Amino acid sequence: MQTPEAREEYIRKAIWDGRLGADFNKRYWNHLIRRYSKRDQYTKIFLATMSSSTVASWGIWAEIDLLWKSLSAISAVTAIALPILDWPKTISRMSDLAGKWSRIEYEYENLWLELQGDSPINKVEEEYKRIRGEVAGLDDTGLPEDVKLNEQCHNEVLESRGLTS
Amino acid sequence: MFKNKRAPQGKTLNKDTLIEVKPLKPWPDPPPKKEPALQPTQKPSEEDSGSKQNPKQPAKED
Repeated sequence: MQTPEAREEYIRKAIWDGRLGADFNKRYWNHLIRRYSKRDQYTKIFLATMSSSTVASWGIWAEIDLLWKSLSAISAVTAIALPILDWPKTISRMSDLAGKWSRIEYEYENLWLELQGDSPINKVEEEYKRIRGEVAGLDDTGLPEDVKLNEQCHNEVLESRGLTS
Repeated sequence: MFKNKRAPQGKTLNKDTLIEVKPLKPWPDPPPKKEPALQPTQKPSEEDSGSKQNPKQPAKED
């Protein structure tokens, strides 16, 4: 049987982890949004450049014919792949996630403040369960796992809150 | 892009699903709980407060 003190400590730790986790997720998705936006932007610039008649008419391509042919081939493949990859849709989905995590972080921050105050633990626990219920908790998102970004966001959360040792 | 073949049954990654990425390292423990604030001390009497308000009041000259 769990004592009331142990239960309170458990809830406290869960809210603390939830708070940092929400901040972490917000940062993670925001980083990915920036990454995918850049990819999308650079790819579109590349395709626009390659399809420009002005660029094609440059005399320099006559000297490096092989490079022009290679770039043309890459451009053709990219133009086919781009609608399939549909990065704008991915970016939109990630923006939605970043926004939701930002709201959840705000809710956790409020809950943490309530916990520091005199709010009854039962009320705090109910609110914690409500917030937790919004999180699906799927490990596999279909996106490639980025270990480096995961570590970077973890460090950013700790640094922003002065928790680095 | 977000289709998840290994997602548990009944969970699809539609627009309303919130995806949580778990950090690879654990979070540090929360700071120790603050002790409740001490009860405020008894309000000083008017005589005491009066004497404390003007501690450097010069003594009356004869």
